[in-house]
Amino acid sequence: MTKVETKTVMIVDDEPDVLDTVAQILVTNGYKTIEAKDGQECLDRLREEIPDIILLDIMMPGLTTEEILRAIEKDNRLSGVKIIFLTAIHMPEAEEGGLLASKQVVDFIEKPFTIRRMIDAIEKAICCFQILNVSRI
Amino acid sequence: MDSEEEAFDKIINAIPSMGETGATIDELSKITHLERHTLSKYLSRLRAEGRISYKQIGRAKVWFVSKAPLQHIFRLREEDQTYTEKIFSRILADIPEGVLVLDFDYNIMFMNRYLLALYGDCVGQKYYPAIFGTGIGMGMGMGMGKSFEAHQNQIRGVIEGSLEEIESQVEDKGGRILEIKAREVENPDGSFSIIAIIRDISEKVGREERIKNLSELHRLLGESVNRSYTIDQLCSTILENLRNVIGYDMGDILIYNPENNLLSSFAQIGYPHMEDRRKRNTVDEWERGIARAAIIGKEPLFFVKGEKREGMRDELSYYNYASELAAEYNLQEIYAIPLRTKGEPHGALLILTRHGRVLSEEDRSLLGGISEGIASGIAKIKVEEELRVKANAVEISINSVLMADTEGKLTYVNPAFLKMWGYDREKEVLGRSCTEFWKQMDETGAKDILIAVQEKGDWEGELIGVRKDGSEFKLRLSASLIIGKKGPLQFVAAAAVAE
Repeated sequence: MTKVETKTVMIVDDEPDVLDTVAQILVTNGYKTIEAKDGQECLDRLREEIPDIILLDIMMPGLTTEEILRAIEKDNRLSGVKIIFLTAIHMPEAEEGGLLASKQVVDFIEKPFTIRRMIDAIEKAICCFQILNVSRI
Repeated sequence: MDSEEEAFDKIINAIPSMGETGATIDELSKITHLERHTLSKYLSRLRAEGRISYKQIGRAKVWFVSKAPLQHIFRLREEDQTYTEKIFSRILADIPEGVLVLDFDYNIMFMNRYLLALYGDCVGQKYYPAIFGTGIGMGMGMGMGKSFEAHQNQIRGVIEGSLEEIESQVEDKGGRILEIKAREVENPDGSFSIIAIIRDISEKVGREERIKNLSELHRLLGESVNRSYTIDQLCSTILENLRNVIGYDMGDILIYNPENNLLSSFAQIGYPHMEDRRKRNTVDEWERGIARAAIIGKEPLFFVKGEKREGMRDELSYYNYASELAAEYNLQEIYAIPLRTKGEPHGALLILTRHGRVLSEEDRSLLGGISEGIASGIAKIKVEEELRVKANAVEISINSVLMADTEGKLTYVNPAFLKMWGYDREKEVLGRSCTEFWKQMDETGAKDILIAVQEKGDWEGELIGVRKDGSEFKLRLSASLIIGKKGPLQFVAAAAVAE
């Protein structure tokens, strides 16, 4: 039997209830999680561990989303990490702000969202990621 | 000239010699040895210059020397003035406010340079016709308004002694708004005059009016957004409110539909009726062309009739549309403002003025400023409309849909849910725990579903539904947890009768 590799999802959100609930649900669904409550913690944790997916809230205190994205893009170790925005702002606003320009950003989930929508987005991102890896081999 | 001045001096010196009440023309003729006809001519000239005045007593006119000392100072040649008079006359001449002296017969005895620039030399003329273009007691019938009537009453009050000092804001014959402060002053000879300080505050009032109108417009915009349920309703209210502030001739709000890439007019104001349908369509196309150019360019476009424009192809096509539209409606100006919220085009606001009317820089800046508010209002109603449409889809769905809070208490059920579970009204079920409406196939607790959704985020499977009358049915349920901005918000589930 082939052992399915456990995927790691980093959740970055300044709302503790969102952070805890999403992390706990992902663990129940078989994912390994890394939690960060702001952009700085996100970058600090990324130095220690590289996740497959980052669920990133837009508009957190501290570092701006652009600064976080720029730091991730600059780090070659993180080039394969896919980013999914989880946010209360609307997609056109994010588009206007240039946040969707990064190739690593693969989806945009507007709050409120169903867990099913989030799991689907994660699965889709991982699926594409795997196809990409296979094609490289 | 000299002999005339000599005659004037002779008359002015003769008048007081006849006593405090003044002198009649016959008395003056005797003293000055001037013929009655010549004397009458000189008296009129002196009166026009404000140097003397008269009182009508019966059929006779009793002449007296003007009691306005300011006028005396200004009439003197500078070399004849004392040091104090020189200083005083210079201050008065250069003061950036109007100084006016009236006698109690409403004759203008003195006006300084500020007022001379506004009205020309009116010394010797009556106050109301000279400044307001109307006689005493008149005005209301001539559209002068209540403020003019109030001003007349105030001046009368000062003359009659019932008021000591007055302050009015009143429109003059040229449409200027004047701020007039006036009071009674005692002259050195013991007589009384009215001295008035007059300022043209049209610009200040205009600015205040604009600020008032703008804040009112923002209030009305907010109110329109809150009260409007449709975009048409919102656009019509906005155009009407805007017209009260800007005073344009024709206005249009065109809304962009990204689905079919079309622009359609959602409100129009001031357009003449057009019978010819084909022509109407052509005119609509010109308007859409202008609106589209503003939306694509993301900047307001300003067209002035007769102003040649050079530019890119897109700009020229806009210019052509604008020229056609201007010719059709005899327009002077067209201002097209894109309506956008961040990243999203919603449409464009077109403001058109007919020949002879122009939009000021301030008007355009106001329109630019308000456009984001209009766009936000449209965006808000768009979202609400979309939600209402989606809610309708849920309402007519043949599958049951339910929503519950994080404790599992029902907050919403659709009509299909009521039908499937045998209830008539929402009230019968809302607030009850959703676990009362089903049990698990394997007899495990119904609450397990809730726990599963909380832990795993979603759940899908078969259950036994329990109707109002206790009868049971097999159902398939799909439930998911909803996460809001602050954390878990509620559960949403859809159910269908299982095969």
